[in-house]
Amino acid sequence: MLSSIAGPLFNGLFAAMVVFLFASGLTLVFGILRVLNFAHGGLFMIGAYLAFTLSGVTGGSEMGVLRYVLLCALAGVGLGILGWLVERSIFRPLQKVDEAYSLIATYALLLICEGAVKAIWGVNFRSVPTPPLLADAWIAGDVVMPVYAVFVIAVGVAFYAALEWMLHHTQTGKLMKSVASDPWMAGKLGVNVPRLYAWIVIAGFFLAGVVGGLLLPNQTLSPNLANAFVVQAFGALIVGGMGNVRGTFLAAILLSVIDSFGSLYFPEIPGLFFYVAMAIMLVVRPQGLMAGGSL
Amino acid sequence: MLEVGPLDAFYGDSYVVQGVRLTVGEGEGVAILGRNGAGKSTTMKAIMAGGPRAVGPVLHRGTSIADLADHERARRGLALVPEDRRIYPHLTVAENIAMGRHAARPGATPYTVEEIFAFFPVLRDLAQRLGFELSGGQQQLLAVARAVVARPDCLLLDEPTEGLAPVLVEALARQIEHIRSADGMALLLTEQNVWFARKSTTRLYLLDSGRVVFEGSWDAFDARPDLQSRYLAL
Repeated sequence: MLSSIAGPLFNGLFAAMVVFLFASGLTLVFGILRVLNFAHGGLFMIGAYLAFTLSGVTGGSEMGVLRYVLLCALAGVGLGILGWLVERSIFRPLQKVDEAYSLIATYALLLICEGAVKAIWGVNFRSVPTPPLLADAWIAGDVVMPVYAVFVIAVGVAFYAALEWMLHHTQTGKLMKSVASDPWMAGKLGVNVPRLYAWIVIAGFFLAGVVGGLLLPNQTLSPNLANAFVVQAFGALIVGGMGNVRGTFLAAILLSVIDSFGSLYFPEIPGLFFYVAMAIMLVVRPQGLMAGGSL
Repeated sequence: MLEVGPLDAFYGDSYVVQGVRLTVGEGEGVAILGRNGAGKSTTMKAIMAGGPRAVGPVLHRGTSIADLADHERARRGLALVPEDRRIYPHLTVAENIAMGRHAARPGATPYTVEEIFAFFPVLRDLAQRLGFELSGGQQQLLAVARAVVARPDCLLLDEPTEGLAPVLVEALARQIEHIRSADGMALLLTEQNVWFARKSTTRLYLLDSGRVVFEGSWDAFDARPDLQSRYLAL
């Protein structure tokens, strides 16, 4: 009985943390700039490919955990630099015009990301084995828990805790929340809002890169990877309350766990329950779980 | 110290401010009076790069600031208190005040939050209260306190007495007077409350349909009773 609950719960949590990690950069950018970055999946994909290339350069398939973590960080830095360029050339000019233009522009950026991946890495499927230390599995009763999944869950929770702490207990976080809630007034009080926006975009891209690297051992690399988690991430973002980190975290857990149980009982239609749960929650609480305040 | 105009300002196709010229001297108090929709707030916002499309010179201490972003104007010493106050609801009173320290001029030391409490003692008792828990009067006081913490050389107050009880209006006038005299701070004030404007300033501009229709001292204004009935509807 216990395993019939614990198994799907564990799988649901793993899926939830993948969705949350993917959505974290998306949430941050949307929460502060109010720009829905359609290109986020493309950036995540480039992060994964970047980590893949670096892993080849630095020693092949037998990748230690430390090297793996370093790859994630490097992929993050690479994407952060890209974020700086994109902020300058696309996001900043679009701040002055209607939101619809930024939607179109980020979609165009997504297509550019997909084209760039095809041009640089080709269309063949590629993969990287899980670092040996994380390749094992723990068994508790009937429940099999891959160490890699435990690792991703732990990283997801730690990521969330760090973001929450930063947003609610540091000066930088409070400033970010203030700018998110009233950028006009922040500017009048001497806050360099465009510069803060630039750093948020860089941080969002950085997160996309890090998470691309982090989920690399679990993914098959192909130019379609950009779409792997986009729908789920947007779902968590919307159900969470549009740009609220806590809401996105809770929504990712709720939707993924429900989906995990749903797939157990209706295995012939995997993924359906994510959307069913999402639809029900939007009917019951259309403003989202954590509406009423940004971030 | 502040020389504006001839300034035009637009919201979309609306030509709201039409060739307004005004000056504010060092430490001087100047009022802009006019009915709702006369262009008072739009003039203030245009000076602070706060929304309308503005065309025309804005000089601060002889230097053009017309091309500067809002935060750069703030860091030069201009501090705007908007009519809707815009207190941050998720920040405490003390944190709201501290936000204003971002506007500190290079090389100048802003007030500490504690020093600000000495000017606005009511706020000290509310220091840990969140922005959304304050009354309208407390919010107005906080908005002024937040604007002056960086020691601006010109305070731009947009209709500060709107919605305040008369007793609060008097207290606000006293406290603004106090901090202005301590720092030699100039004041540009838009008001419909003539008593408050008269108490805080030495001369005024009267705006109607986006144009200056009168400028001069309060004595000159009083000598023209027709102005009040024609342009202020009092």
